[in-house]
Amino acid sequence: MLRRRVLLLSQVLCWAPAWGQKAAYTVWVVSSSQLPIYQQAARSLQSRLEALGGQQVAIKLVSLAEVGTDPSDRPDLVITLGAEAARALAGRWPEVPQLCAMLVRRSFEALMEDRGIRPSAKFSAVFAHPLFDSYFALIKKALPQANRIGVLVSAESRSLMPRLRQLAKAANLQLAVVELAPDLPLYSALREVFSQSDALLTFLDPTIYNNRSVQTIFLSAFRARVPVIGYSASMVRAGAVIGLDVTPEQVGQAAARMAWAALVNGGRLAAPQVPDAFSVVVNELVAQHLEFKLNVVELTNQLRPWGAQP
Amino acid sequence: MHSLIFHRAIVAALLLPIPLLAQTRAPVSEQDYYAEFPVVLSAARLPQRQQDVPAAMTVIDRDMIRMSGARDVADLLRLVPGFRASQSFEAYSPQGAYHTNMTDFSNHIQVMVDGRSVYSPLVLGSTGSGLQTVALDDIERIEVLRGSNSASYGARAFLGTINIVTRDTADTLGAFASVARGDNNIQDTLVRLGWGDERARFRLSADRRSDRGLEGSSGPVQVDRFNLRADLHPSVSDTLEFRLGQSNNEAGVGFASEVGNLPRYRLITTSYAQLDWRRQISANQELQLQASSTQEALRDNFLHGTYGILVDTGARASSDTLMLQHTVVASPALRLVWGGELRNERLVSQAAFGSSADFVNVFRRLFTNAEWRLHEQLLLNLGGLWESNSIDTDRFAPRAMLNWQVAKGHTLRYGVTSAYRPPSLFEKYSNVWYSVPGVGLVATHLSTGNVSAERINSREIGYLGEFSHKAVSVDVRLFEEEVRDFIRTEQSALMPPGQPINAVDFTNQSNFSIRGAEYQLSWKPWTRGRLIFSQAYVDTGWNNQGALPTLPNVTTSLMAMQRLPHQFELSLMYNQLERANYPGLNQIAPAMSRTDLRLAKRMRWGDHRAELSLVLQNLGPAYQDYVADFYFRRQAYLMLRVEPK
Repeated sequence: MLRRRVLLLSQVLCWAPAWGQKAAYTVWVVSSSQLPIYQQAARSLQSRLEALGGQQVAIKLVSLAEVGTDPSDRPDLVITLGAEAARALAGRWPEVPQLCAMLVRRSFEALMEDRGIRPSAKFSAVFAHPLFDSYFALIKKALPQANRIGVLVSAESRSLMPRLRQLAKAANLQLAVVELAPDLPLYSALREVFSQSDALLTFLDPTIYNNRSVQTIFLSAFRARVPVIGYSASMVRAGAVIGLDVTPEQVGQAAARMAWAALVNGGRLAAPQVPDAFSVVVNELVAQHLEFKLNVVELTNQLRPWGAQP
Repeated sequence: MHSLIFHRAIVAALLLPIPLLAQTRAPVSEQDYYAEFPVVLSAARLPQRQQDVPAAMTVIDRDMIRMSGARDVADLLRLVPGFRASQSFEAYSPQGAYHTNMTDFSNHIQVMVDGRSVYSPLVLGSTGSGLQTVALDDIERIEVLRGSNSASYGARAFLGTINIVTRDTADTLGAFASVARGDNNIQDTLVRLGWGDERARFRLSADRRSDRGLEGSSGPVQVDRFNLRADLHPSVSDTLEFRLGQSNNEAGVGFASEVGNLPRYRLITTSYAQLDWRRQISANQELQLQASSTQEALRDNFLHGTYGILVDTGARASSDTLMLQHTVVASPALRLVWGGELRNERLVSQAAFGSSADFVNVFRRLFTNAEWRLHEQLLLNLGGLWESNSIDTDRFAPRAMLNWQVAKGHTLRYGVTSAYRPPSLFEKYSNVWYSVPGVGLVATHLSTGNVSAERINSREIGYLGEFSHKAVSVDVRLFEEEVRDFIRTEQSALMPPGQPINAVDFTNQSNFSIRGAEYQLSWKPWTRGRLIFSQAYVDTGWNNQGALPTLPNVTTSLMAMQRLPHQFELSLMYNQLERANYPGLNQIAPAMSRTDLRLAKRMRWGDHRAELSLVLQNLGPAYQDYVADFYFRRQAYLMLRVEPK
C-alpha cells in the first residue's frame, strides 16, 4: 500500500509542472484514408495514448493531405496507419521516429526494400495481423491431430514459402504446398491439397482467397472434411473453422503502447511487432459439423504470450 | 481501321495469361486483410448432423458405393437394415422395399434424386425406375431415412425416404471412362466429361448398364441414360444448379406360361429437367427455389396367348413441380425451415382408363420443421406438412421427435409421426377392358373410386452411439407402425354379371401393425479397414392374401472394406434374408444369402489413373429373386476405370 502511494505521488509530482504548460511530446497520427478501419484504430490509439501520457502528450490526428503544409511544424513521433500513409511519410523527416501501424508485414518489407531502409529505433512497425508462428501455434493447440498442413500458394505469395517451411519444421508439422497455376486450376489444386493434408492453412493472398473463390474453397473443404484455418475473422465468419483476429482497435492500442515507450525512452522505437492482444475466433457452426471441440477463451490465453513476441 | 485495332486489342487482352493479369492488381495491403468475405458455410446451408436428425438414417457413401461392386442403387439398398431388394426388372426395374413386401411396386417410399421426387405415376405408382436415374459413378452418397417422413415430403414418404445425392461437378472435372465385361453378358460402359471453372461447372455423363437379366426371366435388360449437370455461381450469394437427363429402360419381361403376360420387351423412357436456385440472404437465411419436369413414356404390348388380341398397357405420364423453401436460423437454439410445393401429376393411358383423356392429380403442400435446441443436450424436431390433392381429402402429417444427448457421443431419440399415401390415379380411376373374340368385352380393373389414403402412425425409440473416438458407431431403432386403411384389391362392384374372370377394384381394407427392431454398426477396427454390419427383424403383420402364415422380414447385411498395400483394395458384401413372403404374391420365398467379393488395384497408366477390379457376385448357390422362377446365379465381371491424373 505504501509503495502504491509513493508511486501515485511521484506521478502527480511528475505531471504538476506540466499543468498549464505545453505538452512534452507531440505525436501525429496520420491515416491512409478515412475508411472506418483507420478511424477505429485512430480513436483507440488516441484514447490509449492519452491514458498513458496524460497531458504530456499532444496528439494530432492529421490527414495525409495536411502533412507538410507547414514545413516548420514537426512532431516528436509520427504514427502512420496503413501502408499508404507509411509510404507517404517514410524518410520525410529522418530525425523523427516513424511507427508504421496497421499494415501487413509484406507491405512493410516492400517499403523498406524500396527505400533501402531497415527497421531501427527511428523506423518500426505494428503489424495488422499475427505472424505465421502464431498460426502454427494455433494449429498445434486447436487441431493437435493435424500433422500435414496444406497450403495454397500463387506466384504472388511464392516468396513466403521459405519462411513458412522453416516455421512448419520448427513446429514439427509437414507442409503440403500446392501452387496454383494456369494449368492447375483451383479445383484441381484443392483436390490435390486436400488429399495430402489434415488442415488447410490460409494466408493473405487475394489472388487465391477472394470473393469469387471462397465459396468453392470452403464448400470443397467441407465436403473433404478438411478444416480451414482462416487468416482473419472475416475468413472464419465465411466458413473457416478457426482463425486469429486482430481488430483495428487492438492495433491502435498496441501502437499507443509502443509509441509511449519510445517517447519516454528518448524516441527509440522497439523492433517491429504484432499486437499482443489478438484473439482466437471460431466458427461454432462449422466446428460443430466437423466435430471439433474448440474453447476460444482457453486457446486465446494459451496463444497470446506466444503471439506477443515480435 | 480503328475497329480492327480495337478488335485486336480485345483479343490480345483476352489472351493475356492469368498470372500476368494478377500481377497488375494493387499490392496486398491491410485493406485486403480486413476485407469482409461473404458467408459461405452458414447455419442455413449446413445439413443436420446425424445425431440431430429426427429419424434413423443410413448413409451409403462414395467409398461404399465404389467398393461394393454393385451395379445399381437397388443392389446397394441391401446394406440398409429393413430393406429387401430385388434385381428383377419384371416390375419395371430393380427396386427396394422397406419394412414391407406389401406390393411389388415399392410405392411406399419416396425416392428423390438431388431433392427431385422420381416417383412415377405410371400404373400403380413406383419408385423403381427412379432408382435408375443416374449411374453409380455419378453418385456422391445415398441417404436413406428409415421411418415415415410425410411430415417433410408429403404423400409417398409412407415408410421412409431415399435421397440420392449426385457428385458435385467440382469432383468430376476432366474425362472419365469405365467399362465392365463379365458373365451373364454383363456389358456396362460409362463415359463422362466435366469442365468449367469457379463460376460455371458442367458434367455430362452417358452410360449403359446391360446384361441378360435374372435366369428364368424373359430376356436381356438394358438401361441407357445420359445426365447433364451444370453448377453456376452468378454471385457468391447465388447458386444455380441445372440438371437434364434421359433414361431408356428396356427389359424382357413376361412369362411363356402366362397367356395374359407373354414374353416381350418393355421400354420405359424417362426424361427430366430440374432447376434449383439458392440464395444466401444472410448468414442466417437461405431461400431455395426448385422447378422440375419429368416426362415418362411406357411402351408395353403383346398379343394375348389365347385370344390373339393386342394387349397394350402403354402410357404417358408427367410430373411438374415447383417448390419454394426458406431456411432461417432464428437464434442459436432455433432453426426453421418452411415452404410450399405445387406438384402436378398427369397420366394418359387408354389401356388403364379406357379413355385417352388426361387424368390429373394436383398436390399443394405447405410444410415446416423446427429444430429447437431446448437445452445443450436436448433437441426437439417439430414439424408437419399439410397437403391437398385432387383425388383425396386434405391431410396433415405431423412429427415430433426428441433427441437427447445423454452423454457425449450417445443420443437417445423418441418420437411419433403420421404419414399417408393417397391412392394412385390408377387405383382411383382404373377402367380396363379387353374385347375378347367370342366373348365380348371383358373388364380386368374397374375402380369404383371409393378409396382414400392409406395412413400410418409411427412410434420409435432410437439410439445413436459413438465409441473410441468414432471408430465404432451404433444406430438402433425400435419401432411400431400402425397401418390404417391399407389399399387392397377386391372384386369390383361394377363388374358386369356373367364375366368369366374377376374384375378388381381398389378399396381400403386392412389395418395392421408393423413392429420390430433394427440396428447398424459401423466399425473401423484397424488402419484402412472398415466394417458395416446391420440386422433387422420386421414383423410385417400382414401378407398378400391372408392365406399364408405371415412371416417376418429378417435381414442381415455386412460390408467389409480393406485398403491393402500396393494400391490394392479388397471388399466383401454379404446379405441374408430369412424365409418371407414374396412381394405381392401368395407364395413363400425361401431364405437366401448372397456373398459378393471385390478385388481392385489402382495404378498409374501414363498420364492417367486407372483402377482394375474383379467382382464376384453371389459366391454361394443361386437364390430365387422376385418370383420362384427367377434366379440370381454366380457371376463375375471385370471393370476398368480410367481418368486423367
